[in-house]
Amino acid sequence: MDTGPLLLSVVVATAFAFAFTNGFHDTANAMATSIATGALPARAAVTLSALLNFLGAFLSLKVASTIAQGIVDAGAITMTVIFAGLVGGLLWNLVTWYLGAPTSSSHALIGGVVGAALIAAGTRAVKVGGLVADVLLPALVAPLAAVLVAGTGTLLVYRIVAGVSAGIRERGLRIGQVGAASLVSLAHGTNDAQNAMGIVTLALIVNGTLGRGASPPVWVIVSSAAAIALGTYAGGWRIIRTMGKGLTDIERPQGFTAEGAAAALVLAATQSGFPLSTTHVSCGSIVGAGMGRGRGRVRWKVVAKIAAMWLVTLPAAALVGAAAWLGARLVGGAQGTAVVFVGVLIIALGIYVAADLRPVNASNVNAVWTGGTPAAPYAGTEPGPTPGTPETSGPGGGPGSPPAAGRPAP
Amino acid sequence: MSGPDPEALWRFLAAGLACGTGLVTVYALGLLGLSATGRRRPLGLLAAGMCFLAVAAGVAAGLYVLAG
Repeated sequence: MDTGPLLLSVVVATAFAFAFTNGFHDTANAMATSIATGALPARAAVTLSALLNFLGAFLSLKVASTIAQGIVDAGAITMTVIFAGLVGGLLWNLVTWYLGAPTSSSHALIGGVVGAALIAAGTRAVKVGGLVADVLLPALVAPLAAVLVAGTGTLLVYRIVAGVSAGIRERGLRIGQVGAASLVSLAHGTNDAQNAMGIVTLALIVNGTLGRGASPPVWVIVSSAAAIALGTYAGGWRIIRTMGKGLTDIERPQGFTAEGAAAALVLAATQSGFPLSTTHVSCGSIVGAGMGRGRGRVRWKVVAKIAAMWLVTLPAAALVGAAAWLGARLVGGAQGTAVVFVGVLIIALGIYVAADLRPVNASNVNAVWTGGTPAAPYAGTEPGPTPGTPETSGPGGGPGSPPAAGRPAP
Repeated sequence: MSGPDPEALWRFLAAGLACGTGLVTVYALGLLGLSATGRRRPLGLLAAGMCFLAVAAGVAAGLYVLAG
């Protein structure tokens, strides 16, 4: 029996599932501040972001075949390694979503592939220089640059708009914030939809369906765009809450400068070929916008927990990727990947059910920050900034959060 | 072992800092121009128009970069 089609189908399904998690994991990057400041209603924000992610996926295909290229030796890439790498990225995305932690989906995917390649082919399969240049250095530089840009922008903008009439200020900054957030969404679709496109194309090449150097087929482009857009529309509310309410209490000018900084840095990175994570830039921008109003405005414990999650993303996803490769290998053949795939679905369902016990959604995402999952049904928007609000846990609705008193109003 | 590309890093930092801080500041100046009143109104509107035009050019450049 030819098990090639089964293996390919499982890998393709996992890639699109990863793209879906990539979408809902990263909705916050563009829309957290717009939702937190009320520049857009929550549902409208995720709908707009989903549409722009879909459109963005068609803008450029230049990096569609470069995922993990330069980091993992091409000779170590097999169908099982691709599959296990996807599992590593996907499960880490789900765990961090449950915890409300904004981490990089691209780094999770790279970590998964690195872990699977390491266990499959040994240390010679991983190019340390590529890992430093494409993952570690950008993870250090990008958030610091974002803090600097957004912090400086916030200082300047507050001084300038102090002389602007209230109506023009609010309307103008709202338009600017939504415009910048739209650019971030578009750039996210362009950059991140290509993770799935690249990996499905790679699987098709490894399977022999496509020749070496082939471009992604149209159905792969459309499916990747649809998966990331659907994921974005699903919302990822737990992470939106951490970024929009947890890092700092964002006012309209701060939302504008944070999104402006994020958009500029993401586009500058695209132009210069510097491989940064949109998530790192967006988080850094929000922290910078908070610091622009004084260091006391930032909840540093939440920042520290997010930074810790960034540090463990690569090794944790690598561990999961390695475990998935071992699991598939133990059973053997296409059946092995199918068994691991079913296992992943069961774990994903478990995480979803656990998250549903302490839900965060469009109705309570803007509740006053008390450390993660809202403790009570949401009754309205926070009346104003509450600097210095102590956090009891975080970065999001993890197990350490206070128990929910009830489900939020629909 | 390949290392980080210093050229890409330098270009990223320069463009990011200039555009990230510059464009939001220019946009805010545009809002300031819009809110000018009295005899300063025409000059304010003209300055606002130029500021928003600069921001629009920045956005267009960004879209051009994205489309690659």
